[in-house]
Amino acid sequence: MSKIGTIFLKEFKGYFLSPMAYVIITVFLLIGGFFFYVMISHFSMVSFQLAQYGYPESEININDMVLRPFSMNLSLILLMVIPMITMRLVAEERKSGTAELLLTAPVSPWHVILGKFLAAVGMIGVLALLSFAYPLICLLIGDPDPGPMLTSVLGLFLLGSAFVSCGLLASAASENQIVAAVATFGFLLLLWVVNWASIVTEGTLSNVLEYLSVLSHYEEFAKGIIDTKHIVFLLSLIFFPLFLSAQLLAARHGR
Amino acid sequence: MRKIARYVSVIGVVALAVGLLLSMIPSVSSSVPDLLVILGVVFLVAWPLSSLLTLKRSQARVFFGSATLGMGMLLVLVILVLLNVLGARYTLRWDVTRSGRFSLSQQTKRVLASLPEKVQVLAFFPEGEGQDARDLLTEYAASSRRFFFQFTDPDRHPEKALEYKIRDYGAMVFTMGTRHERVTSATENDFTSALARLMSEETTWVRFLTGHGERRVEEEDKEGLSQLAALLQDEGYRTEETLLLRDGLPSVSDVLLIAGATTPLLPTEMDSLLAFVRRGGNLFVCLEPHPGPGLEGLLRPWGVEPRSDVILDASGIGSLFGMSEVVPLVAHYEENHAITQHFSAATFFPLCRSLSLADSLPQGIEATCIATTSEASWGETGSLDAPEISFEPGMDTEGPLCVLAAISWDRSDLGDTSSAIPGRMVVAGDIDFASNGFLRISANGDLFMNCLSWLAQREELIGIRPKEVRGGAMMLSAQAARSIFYLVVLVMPGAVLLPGLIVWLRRR
Repeated sequence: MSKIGTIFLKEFKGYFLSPMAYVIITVFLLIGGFFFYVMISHFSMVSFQLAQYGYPESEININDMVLRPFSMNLSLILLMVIPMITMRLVAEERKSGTAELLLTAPVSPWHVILGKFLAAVGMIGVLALLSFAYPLICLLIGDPDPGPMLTSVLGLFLLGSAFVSCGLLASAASENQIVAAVATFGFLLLLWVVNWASIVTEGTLSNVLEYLSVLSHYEEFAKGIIDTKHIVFLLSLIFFPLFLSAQLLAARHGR
Repeated sequence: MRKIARYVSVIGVVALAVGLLLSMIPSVSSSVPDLLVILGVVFLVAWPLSSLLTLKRSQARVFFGSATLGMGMLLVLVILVLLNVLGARYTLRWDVTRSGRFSLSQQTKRVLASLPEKVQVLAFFPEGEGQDARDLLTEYAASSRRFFFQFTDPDRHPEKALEYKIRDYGAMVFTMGTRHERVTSATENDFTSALARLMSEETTWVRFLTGHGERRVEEEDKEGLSQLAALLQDEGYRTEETLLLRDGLPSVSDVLLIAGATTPLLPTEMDSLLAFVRRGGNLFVCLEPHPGPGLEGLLRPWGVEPRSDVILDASGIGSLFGMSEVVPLVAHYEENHAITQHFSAATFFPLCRSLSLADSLPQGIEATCIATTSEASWGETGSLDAPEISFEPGMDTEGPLCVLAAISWDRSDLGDTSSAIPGRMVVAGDIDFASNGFLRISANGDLFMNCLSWLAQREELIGIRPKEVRGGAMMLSAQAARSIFYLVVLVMPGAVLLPGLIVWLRRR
């Protein structure tokens, strides 16, 4: 455990010793903040209009009109920033030749992969925690339902971790960081839209494609639903790429 | 090889992105984007494989040579797939919302548990709409392995809309075996009622009264009701003409329709009808213009008095649809009544009598005017053949005028404790709006069907109350909006960027 901890600390600190983490978090907060401002302003405008025409307040809801679509937007921003977080994890070590050094140390590929994975997940944790500021603002100015706020953050964290795991595999498979980032983005985008094909397919294939879409799993967290089905899917999506990465690393270095 | 492998992923992403973008442009043939998407997927899948091929010979031997490793990977994949199959089949689900708004009622769960076979729901919504319906259908599908749903955009798939005779957005067709049920509002009550109806062996009969010059269901001319009968059968009703003196009174679960009687009913028939209504029978009365067949005696106890007039509409809006003044346009509906609560489309009532509703009614009776004409209309009492027709104060009735009234009564208040089912009646000042000539014009058919499903108590079978959702409107002052903008767009990202700059400067 201490070996994983050591690698985790080295990697996690590494993010903050370079401008990398700050740029990623700034981009995340800037785009997220802009979306949030637009949505909350629009909601306020609709509230005004409803009051003006005498419609009951219950016609609209801050959770449905702001927090839920905003959670979906945040996950889309994650899709864009995660390749930047994960691209260097293994590829950089291979490029600079430190991978050999690392693997000649008394650590197993699993230690390396888990340490690096946890460091990137740590970054996702920071993003998820910071994203909690937006619902808190809603809580200060309105009366949102706190349940979906918490499940959204949980969902965002699990989704981010699954994305990280896929990115880590791409980084382990390539020594070029740009290729790793582009491949991660492409694969995640594919996971995002795979259910579109379910419209033109029928039967089991359609159900499988719908199931493979990360969006349909995350959507329920944003609603305020915790379903073991989605947790099992996201945990599988975390574990399998991690497993492949560890195998790949082991194979490359003859372990 | 290594170089090729490196760019395979880039080509894959580009092909996928271009394919997806092209698929959004309607004018582009669908085969090109499809081909690009397939190419993108193939390249993206090929990339990790090609990466493996770039392994050095000795590495490859280790990677591929070890059967144990390959088997191990396959085993892990199989275990994960199995876990997911089981995970999707046996789920635990928690709704953490404040009011449990996504939790289904016990009644719904019981109905879902008793589904004898697969139920498929086809929801007709434009792309990206119908979130409430999707949320609710997701809960139904999560509760039953026999419940499936699919969203279809009627603009992109007009053939599906045509197959199910869908003319409006937001319609959902529940199908079980060969039976269909159509639902137009996304409430748990309506969905569960539809399921209960699908499972029920009983069919609601709509019986058309005959023998008094009523419009006939077999008549196919513009005054006939053949199209109405066909529409009713499409909606799962069964239709039959009935002669009271010969066939007796229908069952109280049926709907009796008086489609524009032109000769008076016999006193015994009137007594029978009154008895039918008092027993809880559902009556739909559509009147002909003055002089009517004396149905006033039947309607008066329920607070509805048809006036001896014909509504004229001088607003001119009807002319946009090719209608004259004697075809008033109706676009104002009672929002708080089940029949018209989600209804907003225009309807036309040719040669319609206006209805007057009594100010005070016996306890337990509730009469509501659910559709009214515009303010530019009036009830003309004079002859329509006069060379000049205009509103005459004192003689004519000023608009807006009521054309459709819904009456319900609590039977226990009327001294009948034999059943808890409330009695219901709908009165229309006109029959032409449902005739072949006008049924398909604008939303006339939909309004008629809404009335009928309310009469048949289709929506009230279950009685699940909608969940209250708190957290409504929120109005920001200009100052508060500005503060939020500064906080989320400037302060928060800035607070992170600043230490980043310091780190960057230090490193330099």
